[in-house]
Amino acid sequence: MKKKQVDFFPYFMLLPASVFIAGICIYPVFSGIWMSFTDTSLMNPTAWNFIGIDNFVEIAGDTEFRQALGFTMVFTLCTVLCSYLFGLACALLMNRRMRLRGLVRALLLMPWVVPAVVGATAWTWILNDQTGFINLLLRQLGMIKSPILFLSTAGMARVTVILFSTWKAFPFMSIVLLSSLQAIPNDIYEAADIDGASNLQRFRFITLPMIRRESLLAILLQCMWTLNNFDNIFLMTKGGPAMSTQVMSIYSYNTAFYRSSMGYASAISVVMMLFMIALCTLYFHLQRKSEEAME
Amino acid sequence: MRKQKHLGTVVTLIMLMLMLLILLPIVYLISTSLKSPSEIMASNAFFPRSVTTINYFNVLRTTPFPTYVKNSLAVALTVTAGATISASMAGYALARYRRNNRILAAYSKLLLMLQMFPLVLIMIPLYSTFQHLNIIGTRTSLILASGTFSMPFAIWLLSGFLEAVPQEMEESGVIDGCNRWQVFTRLVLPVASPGIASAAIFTFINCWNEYMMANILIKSDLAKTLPVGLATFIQQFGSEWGSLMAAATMTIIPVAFFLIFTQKYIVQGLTAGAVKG
Repeated sequence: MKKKQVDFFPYFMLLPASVFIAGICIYPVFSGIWMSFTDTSLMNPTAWNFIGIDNFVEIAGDTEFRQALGFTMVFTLCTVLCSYLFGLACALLMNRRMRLRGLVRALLLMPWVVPAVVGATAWTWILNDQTGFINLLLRQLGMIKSPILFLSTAGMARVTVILFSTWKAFPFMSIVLLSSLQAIPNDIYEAADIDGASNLQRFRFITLPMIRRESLLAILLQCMWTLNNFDNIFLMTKGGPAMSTQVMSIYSYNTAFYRSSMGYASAISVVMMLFMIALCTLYFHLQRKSEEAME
Repeated sequence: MRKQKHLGTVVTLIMLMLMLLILLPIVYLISTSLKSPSEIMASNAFFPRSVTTINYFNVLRTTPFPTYVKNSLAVALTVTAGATISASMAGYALARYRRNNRILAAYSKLLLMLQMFPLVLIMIPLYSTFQHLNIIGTRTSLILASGTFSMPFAIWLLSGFLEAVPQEMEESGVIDGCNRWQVFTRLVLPVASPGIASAAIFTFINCWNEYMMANILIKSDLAKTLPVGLATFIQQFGSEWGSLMAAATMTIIPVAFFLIFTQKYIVQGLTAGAVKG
């Protein structure tokens, strides 16, 4: 009979990572949730009062917050939808015998690995109203008379940041979908050919169901990343013009670091967290379901 | 058969053209960086009439760009080394012992959940904590934050790769008289090196590109990393587009390098991390 002994080896292996994660990730999360019930300010962080749910009451009546929440939703939905559709189109095109696959894939991944600041600079430059290539081209072609103000009118700025985010996000979708397309066994398609299925039917009844799981997981993951995203919009428009492209993360950042109300900013990000938790729960649920289906 | 071959070439051509269109902003950025400042203002041609490197010399000689590069390299390399080492240890523990250990199973779930918290929620209190510790504005603060936030994904990715290492191999190591630490460092890690490369490349690229944390934590020009430095350039010399484009072009060099030479690992990490779970 062996005595039941606690095996310390796995805990020893987890120790270095855990120390950092506990101190720099988990502690701040709780501290942030706690802060959302206080009136902590950036200028004088030691003098704070517990104010209960006052911050959340204020959020409920805050029009700027409502605007940020609204645009966050629109921004996330449009970005994820566009990047999924475009990513799927690219994946379908690439899922066949082709030359230079490595080169094409490297080019495809480029927007995804380029730093957001470089991407934003490139886009701002090519869309510039005076010297930007797109405006000059369109004017030379006679398609427009006055330059399109891509970044200085509210409506266009919204479209532009969504396009930019789609540009940064679609390679991820494409690569994930491509690998899932490549995993579909060829004999299913051959069987469909024998049955005389059309291309559209093959896509509708074989391809789509076979990539359903990966699609859902990738979409949810991208939803969380986009909801959480700060860099793409901040580097392009800083949330402007006139707050038209302000999302929740930018609103929270501005509130904490420019208006110094860290307590209120924390409350905004706690609300953000609730959305994330909802998405995350859905993700886990889908994953468990698909694992069960596999077994 | 021959028809298929032609179709492959056509698809390649379509994709290449599509990618060129997609990468138009980047191509235009690089082409602008090679124009002289007067040409940038005067002409609207896509490609430079005469290629010049004057913008690059300007950036390297008259701006703190070299300092930013040094800072970015220092931060990214430290983070990559630290995060990869501690993540491979943790990933191994989870891969081998998660099955029949409830605490470890819960731990691996916690890691997944950590990725879902809004970064602003963490950054606000972390800012005050770093203020208390008096390390705000230093590269150390950024290394700590950036390194820690890259760990959950790295652990997750690595535990998948380490799980695939055959257990029989480890048993043979034990018979040969290795203790478990030696089994890990001498047998498991070399076998899992593609996975480790994947995690390290991911961590490096993410850290090299990271803007938000660096922007919050670092204010002084001496400690700025490239993305924050570039963002300052945009504000400072808004009209000197040439220099800005040259700086941006140089910022992409390392990621482009990784993309060309280690593409396989990037793709591996992307698909494994995203979908296997």
